[in-house]
Amino acid sequence: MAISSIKDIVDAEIGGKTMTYNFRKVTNQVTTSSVWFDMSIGTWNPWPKYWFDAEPLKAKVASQSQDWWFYHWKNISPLKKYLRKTTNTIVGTWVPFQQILCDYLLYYPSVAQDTTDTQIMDNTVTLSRYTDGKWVQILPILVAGAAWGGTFSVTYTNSDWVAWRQSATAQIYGNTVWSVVHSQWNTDLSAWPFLWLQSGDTWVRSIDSVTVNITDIWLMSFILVKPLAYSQILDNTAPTERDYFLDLWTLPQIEDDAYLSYLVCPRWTLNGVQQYTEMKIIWE
Amino acid sequence: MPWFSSNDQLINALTQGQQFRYDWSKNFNPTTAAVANEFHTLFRWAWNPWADALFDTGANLTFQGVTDQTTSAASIPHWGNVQPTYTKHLLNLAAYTAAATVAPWVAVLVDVVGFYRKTSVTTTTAEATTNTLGYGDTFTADAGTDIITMTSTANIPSNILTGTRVRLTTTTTLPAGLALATDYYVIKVTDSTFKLATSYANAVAGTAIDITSAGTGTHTMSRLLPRYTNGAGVQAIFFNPAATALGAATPNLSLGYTNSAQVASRSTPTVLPIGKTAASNSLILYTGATGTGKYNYQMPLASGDAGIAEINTIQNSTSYVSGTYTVALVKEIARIPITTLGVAWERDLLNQIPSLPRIYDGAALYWLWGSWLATPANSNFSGYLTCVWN
Repeated sequence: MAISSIKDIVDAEIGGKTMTYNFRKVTNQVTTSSVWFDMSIGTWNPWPKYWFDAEPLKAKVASQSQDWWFYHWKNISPLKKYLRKTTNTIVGTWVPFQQILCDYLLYYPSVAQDTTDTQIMDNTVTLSRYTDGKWVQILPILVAGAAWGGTFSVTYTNSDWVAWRQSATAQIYGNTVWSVVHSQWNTDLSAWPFLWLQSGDTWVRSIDSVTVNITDIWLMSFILVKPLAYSQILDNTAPTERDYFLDLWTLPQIEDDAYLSYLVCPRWTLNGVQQYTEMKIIWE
Repeated sequence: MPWFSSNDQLINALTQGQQFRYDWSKNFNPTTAAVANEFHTLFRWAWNPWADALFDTGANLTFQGVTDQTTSAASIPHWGNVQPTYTKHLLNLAAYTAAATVAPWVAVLVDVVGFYRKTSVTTTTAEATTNTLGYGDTFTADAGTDIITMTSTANIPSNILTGTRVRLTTTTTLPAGLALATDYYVIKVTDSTFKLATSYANAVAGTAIDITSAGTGTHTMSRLLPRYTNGAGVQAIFFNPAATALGAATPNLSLGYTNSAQVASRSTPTVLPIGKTAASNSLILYTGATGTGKYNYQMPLASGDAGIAEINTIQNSTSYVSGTYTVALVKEIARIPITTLGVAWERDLLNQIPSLPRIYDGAALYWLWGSWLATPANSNFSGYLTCVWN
């Protein structure tokens, strides 16, 4: 059963099929302004996720049961779970503070930035959620330092199961700031957080290989993510609330065992940011 | 299925995750305030997206098309390409500022289709531009139906509209009925199939050329503009794209152009726009102050014209002494008037202003800013826009 009417939403609320959780994340990453950053690495509640905690280049599923992050209740299939409302605020003067809530699906750890050899990914493990890859995007992040100047591109399998599709070339972020998103340094300078796909492609099923064209140092990881919800904190004196039904006519579905986390883009450095999130889930 | 024909389709698309919201934040010129009634571009300024490094580059008077993936374009993201399976539309947008004395102002969201950089600002005659048809994709031809089918999508042929002027090239022999170095005009059948006509009038009437063979080799059809390819609704702006101000002069600014009906030798009107002396970085040159020669952000066109397909000449009547300026071709998508500080002004383009403007693949979205009061240097503006596709 799924929610298909206002009555279903009301019934779920009245029937207690709802839960609300509060989270607090803190980072001390000294980033420059207007930089996309993966908040998985932040400390406090939930604990940090480091994207190099598995065998290099081998696809691994990210999940609530294994990796924690924002708790969104247990697996309830065949019932369906939805994001009803979020409330966000931050402590600090980092507004505007842009956020994208994503389901982090699959990641490829520890891709070397210091070799031009094509690094082939092991795709024995595949997407366990959104198995058709619909609207899934590629998020490359820095997991160790970099010197700047390096570039890379990715081949992937697209929605039509065509392999070895070629992404655009992106730059490697030169800093020691972990979890900075590389793909925002696409040459178009648009700060689009995901890797540009080949013309004609709209989503991704898996990453086939990574080639560093101009070498750098250390490591990066690649994560396949599904964006779910967007918000921006404009003022640090009042929380930003989003009611996904009343405000947006949509209830983003949360898949069982989803690994939820935020991509954020603050106006200033992330150093010392305290991000507070309240998340309300309903199911039916 | 592309387009929206009901609210249910929209809700379904939103629920399926076929939406993207981008929250942007830009600063105004950090060193120079805006005078009341001036329009500025926000292309060059800091924050998110970053400053562009595009519009002050390139050869003099040569057309350069712009897409969201053009190097150094720094446009506002709107997700990736979705055509031809889906069409993307702007659902809502908002803008906000808390900067003192800024309100009221108007924000205009534009798609910058391309531009011509003019470095020869000391030349006072009308100078010819270079318009190379640089957006080409390969095709095959069917002699039985006269339909050409695109076989590559690198330059997004699904953006091509009826009436677009194109030229053909081949590695061997074009289909019989078609010739090299000849202008043809597109009749759009679907997002990937077209017919060709000998004139704009024939294209609009649907009178297609009779193709009698498929030809041999690989054929390519090329056009000038990446989007709004026939020029309908496309306007021109003159602005300073550089860090340094233009020289001390107040020239008349004028264009010779081909309009969206593909009629050449059109020109901007008698009461010509007048550029501001020492125009600062990002200023749209003929805006601001009062008196003759001051306009809204768009260059006025010849009577009856509905858009620009290409610019053929650019002129400043007196020397601008120093600096460069850029003439950009833009398509207005939406605008928001803001009257009150500290209040986010929102536009719902479904219920409030039913329109759902189309956002074409490759769209390079930017803000233009109209200051109804003087805008202090380094004022911050923020907001968002939400796209949905079906």
